[in-house]
Amino acid sequence: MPNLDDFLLRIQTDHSFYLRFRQNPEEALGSYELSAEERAALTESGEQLRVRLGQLNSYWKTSCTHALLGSGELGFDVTAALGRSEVKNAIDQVRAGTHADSLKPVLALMEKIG
Amino acid sequence: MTDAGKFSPFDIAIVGLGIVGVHQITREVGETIQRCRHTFVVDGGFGVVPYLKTICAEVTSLLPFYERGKERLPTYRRMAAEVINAAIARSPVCFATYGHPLVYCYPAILIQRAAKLLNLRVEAFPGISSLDTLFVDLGIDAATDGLQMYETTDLLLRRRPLQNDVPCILWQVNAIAEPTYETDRRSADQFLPLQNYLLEFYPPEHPITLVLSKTFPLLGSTVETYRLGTLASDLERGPQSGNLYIPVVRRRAIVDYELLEKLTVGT
Repeated sequence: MPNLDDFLLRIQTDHSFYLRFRQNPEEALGSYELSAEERAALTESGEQLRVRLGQLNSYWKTSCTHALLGSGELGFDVTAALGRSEVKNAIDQVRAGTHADSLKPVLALMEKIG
Repeated sequence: MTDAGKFSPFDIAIVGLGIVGVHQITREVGETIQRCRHTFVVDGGFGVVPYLKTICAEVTSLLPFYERGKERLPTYRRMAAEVINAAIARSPVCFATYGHPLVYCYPAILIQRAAKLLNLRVEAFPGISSLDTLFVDLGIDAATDGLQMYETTDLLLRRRPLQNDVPCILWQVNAIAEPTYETDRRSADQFLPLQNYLLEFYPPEHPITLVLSKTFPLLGSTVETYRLGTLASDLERGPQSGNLYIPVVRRRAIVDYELLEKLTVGT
């Protein structure tokens, strides 16, 4: 029998089912095997559901404007970047494609540009 | 399942997935992901990655690169490098993040910079941002009195002047003056510099609303209103996430009566 995770996944991907649940929760939950706590989390307390869903997205995409602190530039100047020998060398390394770990030269380029 | 490998006008797509999960993935973004060979995701929303796996052959979550207490900048460089590396090997690839992909998203900045240097074609597709959901949660129209918005740390860092006759949004108050990835609760002391700075522009009794938009269809948004005079301690006790909305103290007076007269003719 489908469980809570199956239910939550269906809420995300099946809009008709989501609306059905909002209209008649008991009927929509009928085919799911849920504990009393899980049922309460879905029908009573938003806080319990929040805990069940895990880490909030707002923790992930945090600004990094402090990375731009040392820069007086208003935008990224490609010509100026290409004029820097360390950037040019990093690009050459990426293009050469000879490194055993192809990620390494790309990461080195990232460190030069931001 | 996918159309990956067919003609693509880009090597890298940068897409936004919205705030609430799959419900807010636009048709444009869904179609784009479907046409990519590999999608790299920054989204912790329940069910988002499983859903993306149904429309894209290869999906990699970048969330494991975050480490508590570790500086965010090397993490963001690593994320961008993964995307660029994959694009060089086998394009088209996709970088997908919750919200809007070019708002508060340093990996997207790095991807665009590196792509320019390496002659990779990038196309960005917008997603529903927390600004959009904030308008809905508060029922406000930014056209009425305009809008000013700043990242909280940047506001303090540059001591940016605030106009108290224009609504203000302060982003990412929970990340105030914090260069590392942290999930610990912040103390009132850490919010006090913000409270003191805002008191230079607003009276202590002025309301400030914290908005944490819902991140799953069955959740409700959190909307809590505090007073500026006790903001730091209220934020300490609050959800420790979300953005702040500061309404105007007063509306700006009309100065150009000649223009007003033209606008009101016949009304």
